[in-house]
Parts: sequence; structure tokens; C-alpha cells
Amino acid sequence: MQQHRLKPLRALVSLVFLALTTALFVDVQGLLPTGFRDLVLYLQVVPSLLRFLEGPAWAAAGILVVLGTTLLFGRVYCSSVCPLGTLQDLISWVGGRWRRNPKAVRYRYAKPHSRLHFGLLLATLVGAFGGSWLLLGLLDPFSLYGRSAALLLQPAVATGNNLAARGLESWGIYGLAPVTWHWAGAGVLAATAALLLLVVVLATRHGRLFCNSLCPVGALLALASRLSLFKIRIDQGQCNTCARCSVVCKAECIDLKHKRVDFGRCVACFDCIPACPESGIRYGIAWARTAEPPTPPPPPPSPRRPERRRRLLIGVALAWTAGLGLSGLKVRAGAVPAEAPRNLRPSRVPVPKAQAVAPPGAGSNARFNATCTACYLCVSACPTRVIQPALLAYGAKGLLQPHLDFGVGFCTYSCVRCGEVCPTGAIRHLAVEAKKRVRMGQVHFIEDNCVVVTDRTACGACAEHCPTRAVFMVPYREDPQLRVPELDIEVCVGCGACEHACPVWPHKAIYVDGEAEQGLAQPPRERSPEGPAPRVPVPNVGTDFPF
Amino acid sequence: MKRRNFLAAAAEAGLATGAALGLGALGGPIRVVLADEPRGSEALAYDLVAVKNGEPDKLFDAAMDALGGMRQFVRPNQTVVVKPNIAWDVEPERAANTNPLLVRRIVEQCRAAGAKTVYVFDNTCDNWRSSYKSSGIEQAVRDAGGTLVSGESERYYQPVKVGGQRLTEAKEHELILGSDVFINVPVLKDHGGATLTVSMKNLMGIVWDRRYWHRNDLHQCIADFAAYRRPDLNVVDAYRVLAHNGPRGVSVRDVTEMRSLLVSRDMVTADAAAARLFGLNPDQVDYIRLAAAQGVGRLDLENLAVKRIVL
Repeated sequence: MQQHRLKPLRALVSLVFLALTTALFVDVQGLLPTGFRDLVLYLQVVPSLLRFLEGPAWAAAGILVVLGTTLLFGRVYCSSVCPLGTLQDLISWVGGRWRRNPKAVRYRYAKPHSRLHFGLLLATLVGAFGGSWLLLGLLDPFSLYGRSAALLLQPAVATGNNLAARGLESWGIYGLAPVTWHWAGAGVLAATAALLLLVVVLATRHGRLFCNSLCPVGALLALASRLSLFKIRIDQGQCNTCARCSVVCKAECIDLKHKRVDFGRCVACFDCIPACPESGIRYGIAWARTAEPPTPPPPPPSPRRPERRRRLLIGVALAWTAGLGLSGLKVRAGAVPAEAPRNLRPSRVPVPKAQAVAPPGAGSNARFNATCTACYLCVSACPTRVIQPALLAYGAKGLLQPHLDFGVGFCTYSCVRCGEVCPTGAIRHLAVEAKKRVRMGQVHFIEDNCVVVTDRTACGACAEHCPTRAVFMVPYREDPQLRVPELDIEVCVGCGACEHACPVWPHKAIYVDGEAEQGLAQPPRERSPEGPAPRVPVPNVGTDFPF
Repeated sequence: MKRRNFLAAAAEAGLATGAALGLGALGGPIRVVLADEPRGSEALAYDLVAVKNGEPDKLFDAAMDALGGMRQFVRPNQTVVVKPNIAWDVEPERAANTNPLLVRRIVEQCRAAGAKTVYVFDNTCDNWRSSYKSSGIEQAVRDAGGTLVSGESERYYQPVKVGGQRLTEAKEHELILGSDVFINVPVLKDHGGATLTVSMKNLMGIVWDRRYWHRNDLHQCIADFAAYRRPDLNVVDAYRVLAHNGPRGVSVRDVTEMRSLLVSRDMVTADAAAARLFGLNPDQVDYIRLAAAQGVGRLDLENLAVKRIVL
């Protein structure tokens, strides 16, 4: 094959992966089948790694495929499969076309940030052994891209969908359903936007610097690609040091002074090959060398640029901290929904929630915190939108990890969508019958807030919505004409339907608190233990009617 | 409305206004929602038709024959909205939703009577897509040539003045406001909060904010809304009846097969007859008593023209 065709081939493959991956995160109408997710995300390194660590299986072996490919061909993952990598390429491509002086040199060889990069990889691994994948979740390129797509792109797609729906509706066409969507909290948005901004700025100025200084997957694959069978090499005889390859190298890894390619940093984009008029830079078997390159002397220090970079990093860190602060405010401000019109007598007892509710199949909060990388695919896929992004719902250990927000919706009893889509296995893919027994949290009733008690009027919204009769209605002791909720906590699955449906304002009369360890609920009983005896309707099969 | 929802809605509304203007300029008519007008006021042969001992579709056919056919209610080229109960993500055997075979037959009859479009929707409790699908109603409506519409989007609900004692205003689905004929198709069920759910309770699925009703005297709100909105026809599905653990039920053991159907223009009459069928005195259900007292309809079944059919 002509080597200059490698570049367009790589570009095509990367755009296909980017489009398919993005489609998963903006599928507002829920059209994509589960198998599609499995196919598209099979090769995503971090999700696959986490799955593989929990249970080595072919379905989780994407990481091995990527490692094997890297050992053979270099960091093909980074150039073709990684959505954040392709996003950076698009950004630097657009940036290259729009810059003030299109003739100025775009890229030049830069010294590696090995200490920072491998230091971060080491810190990630140390953290992992300590039970926290915090750094990995933050910097994993797939999750970072997923968060950005779910929080920033999905609202745009949903809005477009709703505008189209409205347009059709004005012609009396109701075929396209509007979709509901919610802004994430300010803190989550700020944190996501700040990291994305960092990626954008780095990509505009230095191509794949993120991949070669911060990305843990990049670091891991850099180690592997140093041993690659196939590498990009400069033909010492052909090269006339014209630098046409070096100025298009997004990884800034072509060292012309020594006619060497730092293949650990090369993302196998193949842009350099068609750039060379002499065919002096080629892709081939690593040890078939034409000539020994001279040993490189220590590179001269460049005093200015790292300084600017450091300032940039500090800026992003500050923005991040500010975002964390803001989100704290948001949580407190959001506790009281300003929903009018209200009940006659505002409820008085605040809801004392202690634990976040993790999605069904998380196992325990500790396990979930250790396995979730906050890619927000579950957030995008949840049909009721009950899974919401959160900054610190689980404390610092679960930074950015999603939880169930019963103010937004409740978990459908027979739905296992989040487990189907979760790329890392943090939410286990349970069978429907198994999921119906998972206790995500436990119901609590605050009688003093209940409208039946305060206003002496019928309600029952909580019991109505309960799928297991963990909440059921019994005659109220002070007025037997009325019925109040009673709890059967052993059958409660913590789906939050009761809390979501509870109409009282401002504090709910019934709520679900999370369980640190997700337990096993009893199957629904045929009759609630303290419920009223079932009415037996007259089975009207004769020729008479009761009227 | 939560602030972030409000912001989202405001942003969309702003964009949509621009888009609507654009579409208007392109020649698309801008929808105008008209206030309710009295429909089909001709006298019927019977105030109530009760049918038993048949499959859901046959029960409905028999009732329509007794009333002089679907053309009594639907004229050619009219738009019809059929509102079954599709509240829950459960299968038809659980009787938590209206029987799909009945819905199918009603849509078919409307189409046969010349209806231009037959819309079907409910503001579900569980996720609307899964409820439409599990209930079997999605398939039934597709097969019958009807049009399923989401009830989950607030923008479909337009503010209306109800003017009741506790319920003064509500947001009502625009298809109810804009269609020529409204056919209410509740399923008879036990109900933990409202004692029983039939025709009047089923109208909670055509408004947006149900929570308001629940925290402001549920029974009075149901009666208030029943005084404001009177369907052109009420078809009560009592083929399978959720006898206890309603309105959602836990298993098929909650279900009693009654193989019956009630049809009336008057919701109070339909609900009173349904209560008796269920084994309750209509007075035991507060909203039936309140609605009758407010003059919404009649529950003195013994003084009404009732057609009883046993298949």
C-alpha cells in the first residue's frame, strides 16, 4: 500500500469512531440498541481495563486488543479510536485554518514532559491501589469526552429535537416527541467545561500535548509503543532536514536535529509521511535501520514556554476550585424547589438524607466510587433522567460521579438501561428480575409532612407509584375515612417513585435515603402485612347487573 | 418549576419563538387553541349501556350497536382524541392499563366512521415510552391506524380556567382542546388514594400538574375538573379489573376477570355504575358523591335509561 494513503485512512476511521461514540451520548430519543454500544466502545481503554480487572472475559478484552495493536503498530488507539484525540485533531485543524498567519510554523519539536506524564500515570496507579480512580476518571480521555458530550452537546441536540418537534406540531404532526432534559448543576458544568477548555487550548496551540503530558492512556500506550514492531523512522540518507514533516507533527515529536522520531509520543497519525517530498520519513519495521542515529545531547532549556503552560494549568486549577465552591452553593440553593402553586400548609420537617443513591447494580458506594469514571453514558441513556451528574454526591472520593436524583424522576422498576450501557461495569448489567430485587435505598416516611395528616384530605400519590407495595395505604387512626401511607421496608427497592410523586411542599413527606451497600429486597408480597383486606368484587357473570 | 428547568424552558422558548415566526413566514399555519365548545348534544337512546360476557372488542361493538353506531359520535373528517389509561409500565394481564384490544377497536371504529385523525395519548406515571409499549397500546394503535402522541412534554399542555372550588386553573393537553371529539377510555381499578379510578379520575392524565390535585384535596379537584371537562363519550373497561393493590398492582393475582364494559356520555353515571360493578356504593367514593352534588351528572341509575346486554 502507498504509505501516503495511511493518513486519509486514519482520518476516516477516526471520524467514524468519533461519530459513533458521539451518537451514543446524544441519543435523546433512545434509538440505539445495546449491541451498538458494545461494538463502539469495545476498544475504549479505560472502560475495558476496569471491566477486565473485575472479570477477565472476551467481552472485556478490548484493552488487550489495544495493547497488542500498540505493540505492533504504535499508538493507533490515540489517533483513530480515542474520541478526545479526534476532537483535538479537529480543533487543531480548525485552529490551523483560522490563525492569523497561516504561513507561520505550526508545530516544532518540543522536549517531552516525561516526568509530568509518567508521574501522573504513576499517581493514577497508586490511587487505584488505594481504592480511588479519581485521577483516572478525571483524565481518562473517553470519560472526559463523554462528560463533555453528555453535558454540553446533548442539551443542544435535545433543543434541536424539541424545536423540530414544535415546528412539526404547528402543522399538526405529532410524530416526533419532544424530550425533557435538565441542566447539570453549575459545579459539574464548570468542572467539565474547565477540563474541556484545557484540552481545547492545548490542542489549538500544541496539537496533542494533552495526550503526551496529562492523558493516562497516552502514558500507558507510550510505554508500549516504544517497543512497537512498526515505527515511524527518518531515512538518514533521504532526509534533507527540510522540516516539512516536523511542522505538521501534532505530537511535536520529530527531532530533526538528530533525525529521530520520539515514537513514544507519536500518535500514529501518519501526517508526516505525505508531507515529505523525498519519502524520507516512512513507516516500517523498527529494527530495519539504515543508519545509527547519533546519541542526542541534552536539549537546551527553553525558559519561556513552560512558564506560560504552568500559568495556564494554574488558571484551570483555579477555575476548577471555583467550580467546586459554586456547586456547593447550588446544592443548598436547590434543596427547596420553588414550585407553585403549593399546598395550603407548607410542610415543616426537613428531609434528613444521609447517603447518595447509586444506580441499580452499583453493588456498594465504595465499589461504585472505585469503578465509575463519570463518563455519563448512563446519564445520557436513562429513560427517566433520574440518573443525574453530581459533583460531590459521594464526597471527594466520588467526584463527578452520577447519582439518582428523585427530584428529576424515579427509577423504572423493570428498567436495566444504565447497566446495559455502563462501559466500565460500575453499574452491573443485571437481568430484569435480579434488578427488581436490588435495594438501592430505603424509604422513610415523615408523617408530620403528609398532606393527609396536615390537611385531612386524601392523597396516596406515594403508594400509587410504589411498584412493590413497600408503601401502601392504611386507615388513618384519627380519621378512618382517610388513608395514610404505611411502610413495608423489607420489600422496598429504593426506586424513589414515592418521593418523586409526593406532592407536598417544600419538604417531602416520604423519601428514599441511599444504602452504602446495596442489599436484597424481599419480593413483593401478595398482600401487604397491615393492609386492608382485599375487596372482592362481585364477579358479574350471570345475567343480572348490580344496577 | 425548578430554576434550571425554567432556564432550559426559557432558552428553548426563546429559540422556538424565532423558529415559529420563521415557520409562519414559510406558510405553515400557527396553531390556535380554541376554548371548548359543546359537542354532539343530540339525545341518545340510552343514558348508560352495560355489556358483559364478551371479549373487549365484542363488548364495545355491542354497546355501539345499541347506541346507533360510532357515527353518533364521530363525523367524517373530524379529529378524535382517545384517552385510555396507560399510566404504568406493565403488561395487559396486570389490568393496570386500559385493555389494548378495546383501544384498538375504538380507534378502528373511529376510522371507519370517517375520522381524519385519531390521536391516542396519556400523561403516564411510569416512563411514557415503556408504558405505551408494555401496555400493548402502542401496537394496538399502530395496527388500527391511530396516532400515538407523547403526554410527557409540558409544552403540549395549555393553561385553562377550571373555576372549581379547589382547582381553579390547570394545564390541559392541547389535543383535548383542539380535537373535535374526546373519547375517555378508563379502566376500572382499585385506587389506594382515590378509592376507585374510573372516568373522572382518568382525566388526571390529560393535565400536566397532578401533584397540585394531590396536595389540594384530591377528591374535590377531581370533581372540579369533571365539572369543567366533559368527554363526548366514556367507555369504561371492566374486562379485567384490578381488585386490590391498585392503581398499579403487584401481580396478576390482584386481577379479577369481569368481562364487562360500560358506555355513557355522563361520567358520574359511568362511575356510579362502575362502582356498583366493583362492589362499592357510589357514595363511598368521595369524588363521585361530590361531582353528583355539583350537578356534573346523575348517579340515580334506577331513574335512567339503562341498556343491559349479556353476550
